[in-house]
Amino acid sequence: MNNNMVDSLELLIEEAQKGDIPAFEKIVKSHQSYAYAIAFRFVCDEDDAEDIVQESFIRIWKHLQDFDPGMKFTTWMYRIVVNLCYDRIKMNKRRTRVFARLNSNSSTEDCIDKFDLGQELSNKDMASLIKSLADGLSDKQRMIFLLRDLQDLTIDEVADITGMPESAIKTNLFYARQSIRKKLAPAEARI
Amino acid sequence: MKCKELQHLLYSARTEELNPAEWESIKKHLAGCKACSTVFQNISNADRLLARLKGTVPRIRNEHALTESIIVEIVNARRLAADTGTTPFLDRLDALFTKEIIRFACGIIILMCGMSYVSMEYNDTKAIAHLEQRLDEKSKISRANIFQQEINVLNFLRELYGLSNGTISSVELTNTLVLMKKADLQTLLNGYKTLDEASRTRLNEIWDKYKREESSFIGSEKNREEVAALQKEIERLKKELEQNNLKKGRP
Repeated sequence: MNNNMVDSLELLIEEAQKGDIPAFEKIVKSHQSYAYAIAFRFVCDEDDAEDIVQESFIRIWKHLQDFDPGMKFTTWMYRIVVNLCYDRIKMNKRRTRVFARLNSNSSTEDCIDKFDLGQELSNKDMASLIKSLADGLSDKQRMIFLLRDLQDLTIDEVADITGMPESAIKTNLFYARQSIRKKLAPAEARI
Repeated sequence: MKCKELQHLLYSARTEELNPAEWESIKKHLAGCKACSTVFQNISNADRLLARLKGTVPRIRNEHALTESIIVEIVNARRLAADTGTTPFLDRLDALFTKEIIRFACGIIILMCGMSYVSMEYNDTKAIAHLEQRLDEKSKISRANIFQQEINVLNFLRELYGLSNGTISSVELTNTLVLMKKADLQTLLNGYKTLDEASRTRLNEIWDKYKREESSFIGSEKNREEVAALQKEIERLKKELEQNNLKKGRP
C-alpha cells in the first residue's frame, strides 16, 4: 500500500469511528478480499469463508473505537479473521467432521495430478489442493504456513496476528513446510 | 555441513530466508552430494508449485453482494440500537469485556473472592482450634478448682471431727456439710454447744480460712459459665463448618 492509500485509510478509519457508514463501506471494499483470502485458504469453503468475512467486518465495526492507531489496520483485521477461522473450524469439526471425510476421499497425488498447472486454479481446485496438502497438520501449523508462505506476511506480523512467540512460529512453520514440501516434491519431480 | 543438518535447513527455510553464509555452505555441500542435490531439486520443484498456489488468490463469488450484506447488517444493528434507545445488552457487555482494564479488574475481583473464601474457611477452622484450646485450659482450671474445694471441705470436716474429739456422728457431719453449703457458721456452732471456747475459736479460724479459700474460687462459677459458653460456641462453629462441607459435597 502506498502512502496516499495509508493516509486515506487512516482518514476513513477516523470517519468510520465517528459512525460514518459510507466510510466504513470503503474500508470493507478495499479489504474484504484480503480477509477472504485468509478465510478461504483456511476453511477451504466459499460459504464459510464469506460468513467469516462478514462476521469479521461486523466485529471490526463494533470495536472500531478500540482500534489502536499505532497498529497496522490489516494486522488487526487479520487477527479478527484468524480467530473467527479457528472458531469456524471448531464448529465444523463438532458438526460434521467434513475435513476428515473429504481428506479420506482423495490422496494428495490424485489431487495434484488433477491440476493443469499451466492454467489458473479455480477456488474449488485450490480448496482441494490446500486440504490435501494440509492433511495431518494441526490448525495452528496450517494457519502459520498460510500466513507466512501463502499470504507472504513477515514472521513479526504472524506473531502479532496469532499472539504466538517467534520461536513457536518458526517451529510450527518448520513442521508445516516439511510436511507440505514432502507431499509436493514427489509429484513435482515426475514432471 | 552434514546432510541431516543441510536437509533440516532446506526444509525449514525458504531460499530467500537463508543468509549468504548459509547459502554458500549449502552450495558447497550440494556440489559434492548427489543425495542432497536430489532433495534440493525436489524442494525447489515443490516451492514452484507453492509459488503458483500463492499467486492464485481466491476470488469472492460476488464482492458487491458481500459488501452489501456486511453494510446491511451494520445498518440494521444501528437501527435496532436507535429503536431501543440503546445498544443491545450483549453487545454492550461484549464491548465492555474487550477492554483490557475491565478484564484485568474482573480477574482481580474473582481472585480476591476466591482468596477470601479460602481464608474464611481457614479462619473457621482456626477459630475452632483456638476455642478448643481455650476450653481445654478452662476445663483444667475448673477441674482443679473443684478438686481443691473438695479437699478444703474434707480438711474442714477432719478438723471439726478432731475438735469434737471423735464424738461427732456421720449425721452431724452431713448436717455440717449442708450448713457449709449454706455458709452458716452460727447455726453450726449452735449445734456444737459442747465445744469449749478454745475449740470454738479454732473452728472460727478454720471456717474463716475455708471461706477465704472458697472466695478465691469465686471465679469457679464464672469459669464454669465460660466453659459452657465456649462449648456452645465450638458446637455452633462445628455445625456451620459441617453444613458448608455438605453443601460442597465434602465428607
